[in-house]
Amino acid sequence: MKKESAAEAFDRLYSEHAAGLLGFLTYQTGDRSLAEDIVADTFERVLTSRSGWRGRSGEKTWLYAIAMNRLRDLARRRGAESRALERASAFTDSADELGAVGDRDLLQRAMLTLSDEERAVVALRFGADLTLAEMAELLGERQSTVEGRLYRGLRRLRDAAG
Amino acid sequence: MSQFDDQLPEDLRDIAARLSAARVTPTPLELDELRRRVHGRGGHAGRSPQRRGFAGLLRTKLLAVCLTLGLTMTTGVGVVLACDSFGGGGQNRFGNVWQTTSFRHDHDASYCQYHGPETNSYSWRTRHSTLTVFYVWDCRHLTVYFQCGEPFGFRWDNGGWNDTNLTSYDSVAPSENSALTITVDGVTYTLGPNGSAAS
Repeated sequence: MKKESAAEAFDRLYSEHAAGLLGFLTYQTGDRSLAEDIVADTFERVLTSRSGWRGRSGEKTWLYAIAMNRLRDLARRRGAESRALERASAFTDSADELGAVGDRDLLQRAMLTLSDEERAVVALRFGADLTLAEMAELLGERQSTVEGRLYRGLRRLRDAAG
Repeated sequence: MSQFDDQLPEDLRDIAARLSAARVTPTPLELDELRRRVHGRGGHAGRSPQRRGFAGLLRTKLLAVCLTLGLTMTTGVGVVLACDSFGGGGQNRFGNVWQTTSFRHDHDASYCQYHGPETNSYSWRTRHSTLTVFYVWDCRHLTVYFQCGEPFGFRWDNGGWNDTNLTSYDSVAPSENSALTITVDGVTYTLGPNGSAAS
């Protein structure tokens, strides 16, 4: 069997996972441009560091772990996440003012009312189509824990988004 | 609908379907562009993606404006250029730009022929970060780009507030507008015919 070159591996990884990563990060950050930047960062890391590559079976988890680390770095540096959550609380009080806002915007804003953990599982599931088993592996949690968190997040999201 | 969605409790299926339908699905072209960015960025690791994104945006917009101006000049149309430097612009200058770039809708093609596209940016130090507002007037639309280290809200004239919960955002000005108001952490910043102000 012919061994996959680095360039071929990169192209395959990108083709298989870039769209999913973008979907996840857009839901997670609420900012498409920022999500694109983090996707680019993630794949840049793939290009420059192959040491963490655990082979094809673990590559999806590895990619999402890189992306989540980049997100945490950003949140730490800017402290924006907590402020966004504070402002999101104000949003829930005035949701009826947002009738003209598209459903995607409404959902993205409502995502900010979730806890970090709930938002992550909802974004991974519905932004990137990860299975419960994949999310459990990525987050280092039991599948039942992830499932419960997902249901809790969905209920809060349903209430916030109307 | 996936097998997982089929197994969801009844009360969660609607929100799950909405989330699936609203998922961002980039086009092949957008994915190709992003891939080129990755390959073109080698060796620039370590910079903040937010900063890189905005810097890239500034470069792109500056390039677009200058190319437009250059093209106009080389095609023999008589023009007077009005290309502001980034970061400049005092109160009087802003008042002038504001009226001619048209939130008041009083511009026309002949005006633009003589004055050309406009770009400018304004910055305020907020309590915890810096708010930068950068605009591009391309003779047809006024596009405003916001960058701030913390979430902010904005509105055009007395319209509804857009509470972005984001740190970067862009908005195309609706017609017949004369003022832009931005709030960051309880402080209001206004750009209008009378210049810029913070309160």
